[in-house]
Amino acid sequence: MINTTALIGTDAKVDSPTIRTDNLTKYYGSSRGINGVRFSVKRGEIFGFLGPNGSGKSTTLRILLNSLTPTQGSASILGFNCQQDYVEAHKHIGSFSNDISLYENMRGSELLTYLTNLRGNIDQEYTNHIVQELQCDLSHPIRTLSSGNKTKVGLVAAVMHHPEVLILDEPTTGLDPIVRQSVFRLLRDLQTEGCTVLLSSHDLTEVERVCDRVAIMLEGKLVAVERIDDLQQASLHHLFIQFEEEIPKDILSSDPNIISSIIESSSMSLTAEGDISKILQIISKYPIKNLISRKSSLEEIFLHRYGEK
Amino acid sequence: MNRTPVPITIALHMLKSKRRSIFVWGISITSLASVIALFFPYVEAMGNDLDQMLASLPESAQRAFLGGTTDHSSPEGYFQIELFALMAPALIGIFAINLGSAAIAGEEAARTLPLLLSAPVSRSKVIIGKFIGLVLAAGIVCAGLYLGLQAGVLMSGIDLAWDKLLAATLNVMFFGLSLGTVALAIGCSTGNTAASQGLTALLFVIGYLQFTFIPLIDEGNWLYEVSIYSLYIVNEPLLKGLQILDVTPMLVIISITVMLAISSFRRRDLHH
Repeated sequence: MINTTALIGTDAKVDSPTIRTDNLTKYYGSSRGINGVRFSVKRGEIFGFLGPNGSGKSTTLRILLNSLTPTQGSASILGFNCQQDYVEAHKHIGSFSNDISLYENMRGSELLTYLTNLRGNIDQEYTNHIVQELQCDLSHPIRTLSSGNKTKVGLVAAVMHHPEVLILDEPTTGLDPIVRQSVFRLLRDLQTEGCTVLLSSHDLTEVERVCDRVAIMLEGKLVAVERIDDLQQASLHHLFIQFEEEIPKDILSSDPNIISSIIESSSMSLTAEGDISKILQIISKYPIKNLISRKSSLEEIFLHRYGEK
Repeated sequence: MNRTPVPITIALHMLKSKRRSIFVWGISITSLASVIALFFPYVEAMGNDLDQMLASLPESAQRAFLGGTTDHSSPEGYFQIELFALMAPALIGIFAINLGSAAIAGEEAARTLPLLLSAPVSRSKVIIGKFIGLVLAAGIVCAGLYLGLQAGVLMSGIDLAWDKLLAATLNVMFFGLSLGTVALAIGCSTGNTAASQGLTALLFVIGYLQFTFIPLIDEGNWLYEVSIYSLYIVNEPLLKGLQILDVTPMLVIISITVMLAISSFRRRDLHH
């Protein structure tokens, strides 16, 4: 049985949003890192952080973890300022980035012991549960493990102290599908226990599966914060229709929801967004031989909305 | 349950991760010290001839290679010339520079620092832990130096008081720690191991050349006294024992550089 009380009733300032950034700006010399990033994450949310390489995702996360100091603005986690109160904040935060290394010459068990000694008050039973859940190999030197197994050790290290906030930067890179499932299950378990997760990724499929909301970063700026449900409702529809007979080429020319269409003799393929009931009404006037419909993935929505910006 | 203080945990982890290096350095320096001590009876047998030959060397060569003495036939002079003038400070210095630069800049280059700093530990405590680790590692290697010397002295029947040898060993340890903490401070402010090692080694070499050549060029120039090397070499612990006032400048350097290391590391953006 996992002890969930560690996440409830702590002395952390839980009334305010769990994670909050305000006009967060970071310049590296004269070059831009991020500019005016402002968002907040509610308790118990799994919040996706999306964007292409170099968009400023990692810079934002590194400010939250106090690896970087913002040029302007501020960030807080559970009410603790990420720069001034970082020691107190880190008592409640777990973090893992695919970009960091573990101590390669140590065994996984030695690494966890070292981190336990640094943190204190680790629930060993919970740690063992996570180790089993992820089927984590702690008995061999870390340098001999595959990248997937190293990631598992890093994830155990990130959650073994029952964090109230978990910050993950590309955590599933290099993991096989079975372990990815375990990681997603772990995230959902943590969410059930009240843990807030900030998940940076450019794997949109994984974000779609586990996140409640997403923030989208482009060129150092936060361009949107949207609910996954809303994004999916506004998703694109791909239709491929075969008619019994040849159809006019201009039958759908006036519909504003159509993004692209190709009509060849008696077949049509089109992509449309939003309400497609009018399109269906029009095409149903012609005898249909076959109709294939597919909803777009989050990746396609993302590229459609933000790809050309 | 009382848990180990965080700086001690960090220091012990540093010792454990560097255990092979510490062992090899310790064994090498112990062996070297023993061999040097075992050779003394042969050198002593050569008597004043060797002293006269050394005295005939140019002053620059005497300062550069003999540490300012030509008395090769006494135990104090012999150990000063053969070990404590250049070899021991250079070896202990290199060891401490490597360890000091690995403490923060090395972890940053290896991308392990974010893991350490993900724990609720202040950056100041991390530096204090790394400094304690540096002191313990230097202490272990210098203990090897002392034990090797003492064993050689006992086996050769050399008449040299244990406390004088201990004083010379502590003197060289403080010198090594001075360089090690300079490397630590540069590593903390730049995150760059090459800069940390290179600049500190340069400081040592410049100090050595300063002590050796400035008096030859300009006899009255006091600048030769302000190098990190001259703070070490002028102390004569084999003759006078450990004089707290003599080693105070090195202890001050160690304290100031640790404070600078903490101050720069607290403010700095990390590379990884």
